[in-house]
Amino acid sequence: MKKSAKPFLLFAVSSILLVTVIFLLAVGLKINYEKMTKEKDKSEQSLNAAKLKKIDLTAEFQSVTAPENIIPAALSLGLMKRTQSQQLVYADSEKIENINMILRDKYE
Amino acid sequence: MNNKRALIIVLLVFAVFISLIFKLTDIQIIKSEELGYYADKQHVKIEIVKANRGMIYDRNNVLLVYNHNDVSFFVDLRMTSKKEKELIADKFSKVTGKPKSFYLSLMNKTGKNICLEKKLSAEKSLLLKELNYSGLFWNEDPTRVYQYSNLASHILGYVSPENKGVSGIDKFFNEYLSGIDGSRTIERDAIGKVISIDEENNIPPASGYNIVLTIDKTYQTILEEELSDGLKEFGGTSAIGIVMDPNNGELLAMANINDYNPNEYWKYSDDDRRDKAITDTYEPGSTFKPITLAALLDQNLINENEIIFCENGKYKFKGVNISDTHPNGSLKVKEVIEKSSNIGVTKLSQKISSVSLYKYLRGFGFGNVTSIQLPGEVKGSLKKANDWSSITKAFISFGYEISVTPIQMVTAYCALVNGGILFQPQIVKKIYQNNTNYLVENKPETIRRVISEKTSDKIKSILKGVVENGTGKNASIKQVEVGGKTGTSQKLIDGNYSKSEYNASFVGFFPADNPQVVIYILVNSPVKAKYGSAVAAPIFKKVAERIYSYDLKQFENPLNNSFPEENIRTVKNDNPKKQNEFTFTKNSNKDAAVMPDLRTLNVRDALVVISKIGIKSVVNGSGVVIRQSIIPGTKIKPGSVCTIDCKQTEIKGATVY
Repeated sequence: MKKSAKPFLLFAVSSILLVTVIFLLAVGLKINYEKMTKEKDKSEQSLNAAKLKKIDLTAEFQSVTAPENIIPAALSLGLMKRTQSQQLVYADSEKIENINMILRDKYE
Repeated sequence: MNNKRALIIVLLVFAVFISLIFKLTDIQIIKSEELGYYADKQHVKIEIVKANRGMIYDRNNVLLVYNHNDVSFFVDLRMTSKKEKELIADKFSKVTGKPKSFYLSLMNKTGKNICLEKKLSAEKSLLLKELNYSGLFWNEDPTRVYQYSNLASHILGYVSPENKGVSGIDKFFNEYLSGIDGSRTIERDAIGKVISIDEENNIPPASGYNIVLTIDKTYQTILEEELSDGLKEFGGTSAIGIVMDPNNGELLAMANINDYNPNEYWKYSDDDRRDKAITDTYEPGSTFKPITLAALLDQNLINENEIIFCENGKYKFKGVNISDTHPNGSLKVKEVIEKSSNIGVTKLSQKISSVSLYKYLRGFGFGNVTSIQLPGEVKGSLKKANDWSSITKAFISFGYEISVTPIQMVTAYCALVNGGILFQPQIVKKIYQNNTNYLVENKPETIRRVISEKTSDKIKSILKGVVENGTGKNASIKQVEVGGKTGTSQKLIDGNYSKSEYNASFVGFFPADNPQVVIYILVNSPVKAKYGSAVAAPIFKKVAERIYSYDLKQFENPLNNSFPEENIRTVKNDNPKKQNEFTFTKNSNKDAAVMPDLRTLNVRDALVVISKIGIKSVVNGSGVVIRQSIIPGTKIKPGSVCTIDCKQTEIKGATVY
């Protein structure tokens, strides 16, 4: 025991300390990882619920704005939809030009 | 001395440390399996994460069917203290808005377990899932929502409480819609609080495919409203209506009255829930005459100006009396159809051989299923030509001695007026996955050419005459020219033709010269009138007027949907597997390079999809894809390699692949 035991003591204590710190760090990281996993899971559930809510609202919107709901309201406001086919009217462009000329001569 | 003492202390600490390591090794390594088993049994639970069932849309992307991921909450009264009951009631009251006393009174009842909230929305239930009381537990309780209640109920079908399709599209495409449930491994403490979630062993659920139907919700609404009004006006046991695009076989609407609400299907009878348009057969009567005429014209056995003597309404044919409702003398072929003379058609039908007529009828699809993608379709009854008696041909010519389904009739009429091509009726436009542009597309299926384009034109002209001058006057509308044919057939009850019960029907189309829509109306046993002209034609008129008014632009600028002759091929129609086959198609839009969701696909299909995208793949395992390295919906980089993990998946005791 002539040789000092201090270096060995120091080595042993610091080793234990190092192992403890590493262990605590690992535990801390694990806890943090688990916490984040739980938060992720919760966020996913919230996201899923929000997506479903969006679908719900889309369906509701489509239902409210469906023609069978809009048409009676529009009719009550006097807005009538065209029910006759488009009519094509053919006119002679030369005649239109002549009429334009007559009108210009008369009123200019 | 001090050093010696210190050394002893250090050695002691070291010895303790070493012994701890030994114990740790014993627990973690030697006995780890045994202890792990018991620990897992107590804390670890594998939870099933239910896959969202696919949604159903109409052709304009109007959402018809979707899901609510509801949750039901229960309380075990034996495990809940009075104080906990107070706290639970308080929290539930805040979330749901119901009075606290409501929950307290529920929990003060005697019994073991009580349901505190049934089918609470996912949004609200998230707030309640945070509560950690030993006696409070919850179950996922998804609800299938049919947004428009009774609308298209026979097409959409309904699901069982286990969320499995029982009828309609929900049944036929159950495999596509249901998706695959996922699972997650959760470690909980003694009171059920989540300690950790094992990310490694998580299998995310794969949502079911969404389905886009060919149905137009507005057409469907119009058809159902008018059928319902018609049934109220004329009486009768039921009414059926079908609206189809003759140029591609797409069903635009199909309705049965009475109908049912799929959200509360258990309140209705089996009869109300049956899709009679595909499951019930009837003798079509006079609506069948144009089919006979088409065969005769196509074979050039008659010409339109030929004169037929109609025996003034009474004719004895091979010992059997055949009569007309309104006596007629001599009529041109066109007038025979316009006046709907049974005698005239009987005489005309004698010009074609039984075998030849039979071939035409089979060509139009009678006596065979149409292969519409709905469950329960029947094929009707058409005797083989060899089994025909001496009067069968005559009776078939005006729609007796043959039984057909409404869907067969409307499909045959589409072929009559679209230029002569028989299309397979389509009800599904496409099937696709969420968040990806990858889709399974259902294309118009041409079955065969039945009659020539020339014959089809002649039939269109004759049927236009029926509405202008004949029995179908009640079907004419101001805005557009209409063609069609009325039908009134006696019902066969207990082997005898009834003199009081009839099927009144009308099949019409418009615009008459370039048909875009074929509408079929059938009223079963009408009370106030019996003829198709008086009962079904007015219903057709109202439906046609409203559809025309709603979709004016469509009819002003009709699409040229005609199919090139070389695309027409003859296919055997009797393979039920064929009904569920689709073509994988890659979208050509700018977002095409997006990773599809491969989960739920079997390895073979997944590899087909991957090869079509043009990337490499690595496969681990066999069975169904449960995980993929490239996240669905992300853009694919050139030269990417997608690793897919596969597994033999078990669902409720049944192995999938």
